[in-house]
Amino acid sequence: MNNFLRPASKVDQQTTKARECLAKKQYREAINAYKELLKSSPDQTLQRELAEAYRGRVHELVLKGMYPEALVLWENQARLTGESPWNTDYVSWLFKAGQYTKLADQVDTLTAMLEPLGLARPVLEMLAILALDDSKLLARFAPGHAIARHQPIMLEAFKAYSSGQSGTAESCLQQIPSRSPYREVRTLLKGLLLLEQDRAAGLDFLDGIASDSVIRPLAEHLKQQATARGVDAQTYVMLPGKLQTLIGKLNGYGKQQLDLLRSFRKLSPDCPDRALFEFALTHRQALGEAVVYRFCKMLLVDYPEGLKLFERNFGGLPELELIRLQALMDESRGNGADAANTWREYLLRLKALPDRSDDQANLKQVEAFVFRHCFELAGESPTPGLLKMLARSLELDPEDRQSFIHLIEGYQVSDPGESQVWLTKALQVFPRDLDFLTRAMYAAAEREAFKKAASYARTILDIDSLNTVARLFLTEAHLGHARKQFKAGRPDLALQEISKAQDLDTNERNSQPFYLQGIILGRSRQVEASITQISKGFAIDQQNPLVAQLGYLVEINSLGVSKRSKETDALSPCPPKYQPSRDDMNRLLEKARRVPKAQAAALLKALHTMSSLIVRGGSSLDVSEGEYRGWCGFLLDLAAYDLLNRFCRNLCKGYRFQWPPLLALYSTLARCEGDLTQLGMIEGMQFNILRMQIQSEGDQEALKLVNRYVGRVVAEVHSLMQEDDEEEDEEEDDDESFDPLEYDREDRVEFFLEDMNEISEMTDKELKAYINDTLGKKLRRNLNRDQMIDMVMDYLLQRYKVTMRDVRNAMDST
Amino acid sequence: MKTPFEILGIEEDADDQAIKKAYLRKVRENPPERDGAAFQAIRKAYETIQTARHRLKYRLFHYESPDLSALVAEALSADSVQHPDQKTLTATLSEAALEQLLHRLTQNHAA
Repeated sequence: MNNFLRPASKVDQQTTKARECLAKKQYREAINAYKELLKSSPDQTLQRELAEAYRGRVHELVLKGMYPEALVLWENQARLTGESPWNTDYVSWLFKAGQYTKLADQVDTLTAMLEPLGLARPVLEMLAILALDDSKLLARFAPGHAIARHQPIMLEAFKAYSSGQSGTAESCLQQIPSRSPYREVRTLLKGLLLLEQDRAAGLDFLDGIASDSVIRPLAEHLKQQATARGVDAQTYVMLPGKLQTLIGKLNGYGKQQLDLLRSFRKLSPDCPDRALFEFALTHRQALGEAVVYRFCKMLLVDYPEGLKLFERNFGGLPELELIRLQALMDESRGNGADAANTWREYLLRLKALPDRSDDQANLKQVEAFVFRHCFELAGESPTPGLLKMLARSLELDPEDRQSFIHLIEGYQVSDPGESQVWLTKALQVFPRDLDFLTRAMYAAAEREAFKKAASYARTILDIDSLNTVARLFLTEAHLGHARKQFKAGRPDLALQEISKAQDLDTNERNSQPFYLQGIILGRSRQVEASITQISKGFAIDQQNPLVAQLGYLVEINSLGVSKRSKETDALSPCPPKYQPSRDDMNRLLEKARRVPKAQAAALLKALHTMSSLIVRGGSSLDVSEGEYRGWCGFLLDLAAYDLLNRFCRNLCKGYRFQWPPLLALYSTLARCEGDLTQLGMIEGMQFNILRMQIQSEGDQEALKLVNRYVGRVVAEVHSLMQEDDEEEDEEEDDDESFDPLEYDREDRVEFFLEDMNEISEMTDKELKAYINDTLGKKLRRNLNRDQMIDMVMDYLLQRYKVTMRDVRNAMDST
Repeated sequence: MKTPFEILGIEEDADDQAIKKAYLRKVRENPPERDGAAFQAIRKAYETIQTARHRLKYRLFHYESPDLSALVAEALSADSVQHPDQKTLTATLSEAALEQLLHRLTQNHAA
C-alpha cells in the first residue's frame, strides 16, 4: 500500500473539534473535549487552550451569578498555567460565594496584591467585620493576627452596647488600638453610644470614619436618617431592609411607626389623591388626628371629589369654608379670573353671616385683604378696574404699604397726576417711610419744586443721616433754588442757598456750587471773589480742562447769563485747539452724566459750545474697541443729534468704504433725529440693509438699539391704522389669484420695482386711496408722503416675497 | 406640614406678645450655627403670624400642597434611642460593608 496521505487520527479529530468549540466560544464543550484529549497525553499547548476555555466559562458562570462554580474553574486554569489566581475579580468572587476562609488563608498574599491598589485596608476591614459573626473565619487567622486579637473585644463591645451597658462598651472600645482593622467600627460604635446623650454630637462623630472605609456609606445613611427630626421617608424606604430596621431602632420607632413606613413604602410616587386620602385616614393614629384633618382638608383643594370622604370622617365643613377652598382650588389651577369671582362670593356670604361670627368683627379688613389678594392674582399688568379695587382696599384698611406702592407705580405711566395723589396719601399714612420719601423727593425735583424736594431730602436725612442720595438731592435742591432766585433777581438769596448746599458737601467734592457762586458774584461785579470761587471749582475738577469747562458752562446756561464776565471767561481752562485725550473724554462723559435732568437744556447748550472739542476728542477713542459707544448712546438720549452726527462722521473718517454698522446706525438716527419715519425711501432701504448687517454680526447692543427705534415706528403706525375687518372679509381679494412663488426671484424684484415706480408717480391723494383700497387700511390721521410710501413698500415686499437685499442687488447690477 | 403655631409651640389663639415670646424662646433653643434649617423654619413661622393682620391673611389664603413624605416624616421624629441587638447590628454592618467593598472592587477592575 502506498499511503502518502496519512488518514486523520482520532486525536487529530478530537483536537480539531476542541479548537472549533473554543473558537465558537462553546466553552463547556471545549472543556470536555480538551479534558478528554489530555487524558491520553499531557500536551502543554492543549493545557493552555484548556485554561483559555476555563477562563471563558468562568465569565459565563459569573454572569449567571454562579460564583462557587466559577471559582473552581478559575483555580483550575491557574493550576494549568502556573499563574496565581489572585486578582480583584477572584477576590470579589470569593466574597460573593461566601468563601471567606480562602481569603483569610491567603491574607498575606492578598494584602500584598491589593496594597498598590489601595484596597488592602478595606478588604482587611471587611474580613474583620465578617469575623464578628463567623467563628470559622476567625479561626483561620493566626493567633497573633490583629483580627484574632481584637475580635473578641469588639464583639464584647457590641454585646454590651446592645444590652445597654454603655460603660462596658466604652471600656472595650478603649482597648481597640488605632491601627486595628476594627478602628472604623470602633468609631461607629462610639458614635452610637454618644447618640444617647447628644443625638447631634453622636451623628457628627460619625464624620470621623475614614472616607475609604467600607462602612462609610452606612455612616452617611445613619447621619441622614437618625437625626432628631427623624427619617426622610422617601429615602428611608429605598434603603435595604436591615438598614431600615437599624435606623428604626436608633430612632426609637415602635410597631405603629414601622407599620406606617411599610405602608408608605408600598405607595407609588404618583399615586392618585384618593390613595393619599385613604393612607392618611388609615394611619391617623400614628400621624396624629389634627395633622390628618389638616392634610385632608388641603387635599380637597386638589381633589374636591374627596369631600364626601372627608365629611364622613371629620364632619361637614361650613359653607364659607367650602367657598374658600374653592377659591384656593381655582388659584392652584391658574384660573385667576375664576378665583377672583369666588373670592367675591366669599365676601358676599361673609357679609350675610349673623353678627356673632369672628370674621364679621374685622369684616373690613377681610374685604381689604381679599381685594389685595385678587389684585395680586391678576399678575403684572393691572387694569384700571383692579387699581380702583386696590384703592378701595385702602379705604377699608389704610395701613398697607404695598398697596400704596402698587397704586403709585400702577398709575405712573397712564395717569402721573393720580400717581402723585397716591404718593401724597402714602406719606400721610407713613410720614417717615424712606421709600415713599425718596419717591416724593424725585417727583418734586422733576417738577422743579425744589423747596419741596429739599424738605423731603431733609426728612430722609433726619431718619438716615448717611443717605447719600438724599444728601445729593438736598444739595441739588438748594442749587436749583439758588438758580431760581438768581433768575428772579435775588442774587443775595441765591448765594444763601448756595451756602446751604456747600454746608452739606463737607468734603468739597462738588464743583458746581463754586461755579454758580462765582458766576453770580461776577454778575454782581465782585470780580475777585468771582475768580476765587470759579478757581476753586476748577481745582475740585482736578484741573481737567474739559470737565471744568463743562461744569462752568452748564451753570452759565442754567442761569441764562447772556453777557459773560471777561475776567471769568479768561479763566477758561481749555486752550484753543486743545486735543482731548482718551482720559479727558471718559471723564467728560462721566461729568455730563451726573448733570441733573433739570439742567438737561443747559447741558445740551454747553455740549454744543464744546462741540469742536468733543468731536476732536472722538479721535482719541479706539473705534475698534467700541469706546465711542458711551458717547453715542449719551448724545442720542440727550437728543444732541447734530453733535452726534458730527461725532460719528469724524470717527468714520478712516473708513473709506463702509462704516462700522453701529456708527452708521447712530449717524442715521442722528440725521432723522430719532424718528425713523423721517427717513426717505433710499435712506430707508439703506437702514434696512444696515439692520440686516447688524443682525448677521450678532451685535446685541446694536440690535437692541435698532429694535427700540423700529418698535417706536411700529407702535406709531399701529396707532394710526384702523382695521376694518368687515371690509376685509367682503373685499374681493384678487391677491389670492397671484402666487408670487410661481415666479423666480428676478421677476418678483422687477414687479416690485415697477410697482414702486408707479407709486412714486402718484399724488398724495392717489397714494392715500391706494392704501385704502389695496392695503385695506383706513388711515386715522394724516401721514406724510414718506411715511405712506414706507407703508406701501413694506406691503409690496411682503406681496412679492422679496427682501431689500434683493432689491439693492438688482439696482446695483443695472 | 407643621403650622407656624406648631413650629413655635403655641396655641392658635395666642396674641402678638405670646407669639413673640415663643419665637424668642425657640431661636434661643435653636441657634442658626447649631441647626440652620430649624432656625429658618422658626423665623419663617414667626414672620407668617407675628401680628393679627398676618394671622388673618394666613387663615384666609394659606395653601400648601399636601406632602405625604413630610407628613410621614413629622410623625416619625426620633424619640428615645433603642439598642438594636448585636446580631442585627453586625449583620447590617456586614451587608452594607460588603456592598461597598464589591462596588470598589468592580470599579477597580473597570479602571
